Amino acid sequence: MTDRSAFDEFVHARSAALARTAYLLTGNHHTAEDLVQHALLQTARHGERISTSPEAYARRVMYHQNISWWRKRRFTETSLGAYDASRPPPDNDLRLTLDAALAQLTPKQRTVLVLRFFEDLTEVQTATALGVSVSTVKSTTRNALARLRVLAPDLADLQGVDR
Amino acid sequence: MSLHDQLERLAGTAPRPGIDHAVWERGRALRRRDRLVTSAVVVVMVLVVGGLASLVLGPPRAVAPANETVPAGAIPRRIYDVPAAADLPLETDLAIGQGSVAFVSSSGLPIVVGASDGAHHSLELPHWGADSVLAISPSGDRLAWLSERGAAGAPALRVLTLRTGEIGTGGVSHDAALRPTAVSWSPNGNALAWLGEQPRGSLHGIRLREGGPPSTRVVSSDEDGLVGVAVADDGRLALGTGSAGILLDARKEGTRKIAGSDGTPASFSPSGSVLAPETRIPSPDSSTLEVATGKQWRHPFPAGTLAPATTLSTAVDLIPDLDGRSSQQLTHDFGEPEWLGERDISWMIGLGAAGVLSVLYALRWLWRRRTPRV
Repeated sequence: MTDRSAFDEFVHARSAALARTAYLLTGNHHTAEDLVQHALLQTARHGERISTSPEAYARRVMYHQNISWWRKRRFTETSLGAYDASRPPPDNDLRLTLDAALAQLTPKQRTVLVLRFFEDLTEVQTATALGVSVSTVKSTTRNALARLRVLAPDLADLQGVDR
Repeated sequence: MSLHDQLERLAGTAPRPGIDHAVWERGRALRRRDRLVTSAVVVVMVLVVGGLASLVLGPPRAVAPANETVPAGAIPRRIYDVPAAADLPLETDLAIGQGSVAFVSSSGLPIVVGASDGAHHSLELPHWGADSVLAISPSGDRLAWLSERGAAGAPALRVLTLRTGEIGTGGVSHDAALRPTAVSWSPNGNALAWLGEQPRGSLHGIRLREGGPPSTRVVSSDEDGLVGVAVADDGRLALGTGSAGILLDARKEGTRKIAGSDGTPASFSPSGSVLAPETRIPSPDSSTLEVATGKQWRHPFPAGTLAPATTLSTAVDLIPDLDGRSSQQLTHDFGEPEWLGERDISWMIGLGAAGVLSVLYALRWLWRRRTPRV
């Protein structure tokens, strides 16, 4: 992607979809917007290197950048209150429960869950996208789901979790 | 409801992001910067690799170890000019020991190079002026200089004994108006000839030391515009007349002019049969003149031998006797002076740091290139 019009068309068509994934990855609207901006900037910067889909490249940048940001921030940010927080009511408040539970996962666990259960990637595709082994994807998925069940028991009955 | 559906529902709450319209321009600007940095890294890598290769694979320098002292004295392989900005202190203690080379620096200072250690000494000579000229004796023990004005206001010829710091003075003229032109020693150091310009013409003389205290004789010349002087051990003079040739046996009856010989006389050979004219930059060669026949031979210099400089004289007695081998070292590598080395070291440190940073950046770049493309 080396011309402005194609880039603008791509941004107009896919920025909303990128923002949805970014929100799931970060759990924060402002951080998600920064993540999308960063991914689009890198897409414009490395347009010559993108041989297939610019969206796939942008998504890959988001996956890696989110983990990278977390590594930079984890020594300064602390959050200890979630374990003792009261559970929100079920059903209508299930979104909030899921949101809060995702926030308790590590970015790596969260990213793997988003790729596996939101992007519907296979374990092999997830491993390729993140640059890790398939066994790492399997173990991270298993640990993430187990932690999710502990943090939000209502989610344990969700369909498709164990696939 | 599956986890996928719940995640879809959660993602649906994400607002549409406001995209900065300048993101394309910023991305392309970063791309251009990447290319520039990459090009610079490649250039620096080539330079570093090339420099290392030349250091490792280049021919070893066939010289004696640098920075050693030579007790018997030696002519330095390289003579360094002393620019005005150089951090070389002016020395008032003139007893510096035997010298090998004397010259006037580009900043107008009298410089003597130590014969045993190659150290450059900037001397605070009495009554040294902008027009003063100097010459070191063939043995390297004495330094003579001719000043436009001495202690009494008249021109003065002075001789410094470098081992003791003693200074001998001789008047050269009763006329205060004399612009120094040249000073030259005879091969055995017993005669010292000088030359100057007066409003009425050239004035030259000889200072002889023949068994007793030196005596100075002043001789007026009929010739105008003389440019150089040389004196033989027996007191014969050669005077340069510029383009008109060289006057030989100028002190005696029957002065002979060798027309067509270029240059100005500088030194006689010990036997007095050969005369060496001065080499004037940018001349690519030196020459010698057979006194008896007037024949002149040219001796080309290797490229890069000479750099712009003012007058320079050497203690030729320090050149070893030739042994007939082409590998014989006639000069000695004393290494670079400290006041030059500090600047060069900082330059090398800077280049080394830049090289290391470039290598690290190149490794990072290569590592990023190894990541699979999408």
